[in-house]
Amino acid sequence: MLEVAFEGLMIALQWPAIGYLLLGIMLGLYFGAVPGLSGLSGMAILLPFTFGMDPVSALAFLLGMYAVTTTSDSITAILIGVPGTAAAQATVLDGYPMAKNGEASRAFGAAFTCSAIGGVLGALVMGLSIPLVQPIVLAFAKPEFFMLGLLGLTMVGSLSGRSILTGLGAAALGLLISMVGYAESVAIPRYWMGTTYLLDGLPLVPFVLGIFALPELVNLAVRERPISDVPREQVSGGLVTGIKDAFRHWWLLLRSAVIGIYIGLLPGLGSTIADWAAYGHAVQSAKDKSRFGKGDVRGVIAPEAANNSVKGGELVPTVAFGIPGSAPMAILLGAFLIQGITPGPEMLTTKLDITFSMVWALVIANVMAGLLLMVWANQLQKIIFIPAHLVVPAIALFMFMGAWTASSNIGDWISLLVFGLIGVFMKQAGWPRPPLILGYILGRIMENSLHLSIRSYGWEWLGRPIVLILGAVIAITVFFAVRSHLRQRREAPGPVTSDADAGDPRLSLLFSGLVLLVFAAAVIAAMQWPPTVRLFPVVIGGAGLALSAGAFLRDVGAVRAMNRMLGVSVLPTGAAAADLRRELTRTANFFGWLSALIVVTVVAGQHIALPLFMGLYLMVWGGYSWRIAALYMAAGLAFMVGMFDHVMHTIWYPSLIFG
Amino acid sequence: MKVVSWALAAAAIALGLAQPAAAQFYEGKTVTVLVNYPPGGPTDIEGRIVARHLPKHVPGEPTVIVKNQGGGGGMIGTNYLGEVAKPDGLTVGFFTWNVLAGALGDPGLRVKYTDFGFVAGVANPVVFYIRKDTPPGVNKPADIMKTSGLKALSLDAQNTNTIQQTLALDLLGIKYNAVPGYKGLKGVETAILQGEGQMANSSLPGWRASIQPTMEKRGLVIPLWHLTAAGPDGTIKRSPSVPELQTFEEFYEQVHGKKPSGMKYEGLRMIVDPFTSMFRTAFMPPKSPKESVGIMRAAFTGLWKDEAFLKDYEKAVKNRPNLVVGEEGEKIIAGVVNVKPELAAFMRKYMADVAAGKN
Repeated sequence: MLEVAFEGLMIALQWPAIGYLLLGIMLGLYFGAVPGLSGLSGMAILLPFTFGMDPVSALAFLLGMYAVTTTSDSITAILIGVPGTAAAQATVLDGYPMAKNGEASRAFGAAFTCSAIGGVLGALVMGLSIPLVQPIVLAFAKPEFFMLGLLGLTMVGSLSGRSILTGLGAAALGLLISMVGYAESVAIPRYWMGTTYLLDGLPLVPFVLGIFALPELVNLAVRERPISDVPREQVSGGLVTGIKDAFRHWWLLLRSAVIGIYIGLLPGLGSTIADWAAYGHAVQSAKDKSRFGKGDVRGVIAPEAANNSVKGGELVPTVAFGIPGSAPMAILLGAFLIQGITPGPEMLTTKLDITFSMVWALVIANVMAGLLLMVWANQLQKIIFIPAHLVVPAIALFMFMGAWTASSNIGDWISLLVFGLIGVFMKQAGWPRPPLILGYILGRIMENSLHLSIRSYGWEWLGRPIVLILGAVIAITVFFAVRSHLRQRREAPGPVTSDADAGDPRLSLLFSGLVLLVFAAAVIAAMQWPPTVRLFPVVIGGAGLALSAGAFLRDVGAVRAMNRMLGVSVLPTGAAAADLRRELTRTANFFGWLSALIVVTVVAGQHIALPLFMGLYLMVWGGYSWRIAALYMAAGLAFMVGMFDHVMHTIWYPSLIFG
Repeated sequence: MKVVSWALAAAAIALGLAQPAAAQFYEGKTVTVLVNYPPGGPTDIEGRIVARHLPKHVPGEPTVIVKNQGGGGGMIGTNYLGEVAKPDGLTVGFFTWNVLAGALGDPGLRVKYTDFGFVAGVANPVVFYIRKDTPPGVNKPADIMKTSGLKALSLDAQNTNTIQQTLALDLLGIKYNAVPGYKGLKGVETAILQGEGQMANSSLPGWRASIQPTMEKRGLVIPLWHLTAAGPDGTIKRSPSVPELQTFEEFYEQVHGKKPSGMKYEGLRMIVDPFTSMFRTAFMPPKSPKESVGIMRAAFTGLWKDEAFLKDYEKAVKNRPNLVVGEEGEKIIAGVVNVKPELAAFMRKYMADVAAGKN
């Protein structure tokens, strides 16, 4: 075994394989760092170039690229709150607040260290476990998948936010949003509002960017402060502190890596979910949960370890049985076939050296990427101290182009704005956003698994042993969450002080009311569909109605209590009122600008609208001179042409004028 | 005499001009191959191989790039080619088309396949397979007739993959439970591997590249039969891509002693003939200039004689696929769009029943 492992290393280090590996790593860092690009688009773009290569070079090239996208995707997640790939969504939750606290360097140190270690662990487990995993993979059929989804939702839903009602309510809302588009079993479109754009479901990227990233952009534009609330001179703890953090929390790092590997092993889940599962676990297992969401380094460590280790896990079923764990693995499988490599037992016998060369490629890529990014970290982190108005146009460009790559349809931008508004609303109202996203991601997987379980096993699936175990874990999770919430309420009565997860109860009341209406409308609309189509929406709608009704009643109580404390008036007075009014006006104004960006695009196309938005924003909001604006516009346009015209071959909006 | 020589000269000039005109037209231009599925899927991989080798076969050697517009079961990209892409000869759609939506209508499909400029199609038979441990044990295809508790897995209920399977089983008179709803042929394969169901069907590349090496060779499954398009004379012969497998019709005759017939069989042929004779299709936007469509047809014909291309394509799909061009392909598409109303009505009802689990 050792001998073959060494042989694999030698093959991986041979020229030209090592050259392709290094090239792959550089490209992967780039695909990960630019929002909208990802390991998946990287795989698709690079695959045709591998046709002419020898098998080891081809695999080293693709794996080198794929391994590191989830290392560099934390750069934008931490710096500007925009996840570089979908796998860094959970990193934003604490990574971005760390940047706001001026600790971007420290977050980088932790993120890159954990990514490297997580990735290496994933690779090693892959090397060791391929012969052992068949029973695990085959034991998790559709019923077990459904229960895993339910467990994930209850974990995240009951742990985030002030109340289990809003947490699970948001999860139900996410599930409901995932129902948009063609039903699982029959081509009956649900909640599609008559637009072809929504027929295939709401795309992930605009939704996530809207819910998480747009509210932060609005915040930057409205509050006019740099990303970091702390001036540069007062920042304590840099890169080295972050690296030490990673080692100090080695036990969490290790557990998160194992979670990632395990999720990778199960086909169909993939890295989008690994980061959330690890984050949920970090919160659940922490004694002191108070810092999560406000810049707790553990909230960076867990998802970053998991989203790299997941890739070693994903490779196992791909290599051992030809079952791709995710879309990028399906492309890699295509590369296998083109190279004449057949997944299966052969990979463990006659082609074991190739299997090991893949393990080594993953190890080398993860370590190299971590080191390279640490060297650059100091330059990168300067962004957080730049005045807000200088970074807003660049982030807007990244965000809008990232959303556009989802389906190259104006619907991508409209969804971005609509969910941006909802994101701002939820943030202010104190409704947790992570369960919403997770519900959306898991919704289709869960409905599909439930549907197939019932059709295949009747109701007997409920008696399967692993299903029963998972069911017990769910019950325990809910029990402890309810108990700790009740205890907290007894210990700390009265309104919560103004911190990140405590929203305005009046806004929360309004939001609960709206969500209540949405669930009611969803259930009514579902009634006309055939049974298989309406089953899931009706069940979710019912649960959502109960949860949001509970939240509504609680909010009514909270508003009454607030009124009693503040006296007769519920409205803030004096300076606070003026501040609030100014903030609201500016937020509305900014959304007006973003809407104008879409209108100008429809009329004159993106090559005019986006640079124009950037230039005008700099001059009007930031008060910069036309020279700076022109320079900025030119750079933005060059980025659009260079990246999206030439590399991605993006399809632009066919505008009225230039169509 | 003079008139004739003038005419000859004019013809010569016209011909002489026509050739360079085509070359001039595409020289220095960029041709976009539009794929109606997202990057990385089988349609995309094949589209990218076509795009890589296409330039040599187009006079003037244009640059060829690939753009993806996935979503809506391939319908968003199809609508885009029909409604947005310009008929300037610079866009070619490389699609997996939706035969059932084309024949029976679908709220998501806003264009008619007959409106496109048809370039070429790639043929591909469909292979059915079954687990050998299906009770009481299946060692040869005929054993399927006495199985019990057979679960037949497939893609979503409205997909050809599902309907051609239920129709075939219904025709044979086998008792089974249809479990449609899997995501992608890989998802179906995984479930067969996990024993969640026992039988399924796959495209030929799926059979050759994946099921055969990972499941048949290990003694887990056996092939049952294949479905392939009828020849120009209406008879059904074994596809040259899988000569070792019997056709569905051969199997039916072996079991029932007569040829299959009736509405269900007509419905099966309505799906299988167009879909297997043109598994992938290349189209140009409606009202594209006849000359460009002609040039692209010639280019695809050239591609299928190009050893370098065939070698790459063969690597991806694991067999040498046949090409359908010109009038033959146009006839197939017209057949789909102009399906008999009573057959369409029967199929709509049948598909609703399958979706509801009542077939």
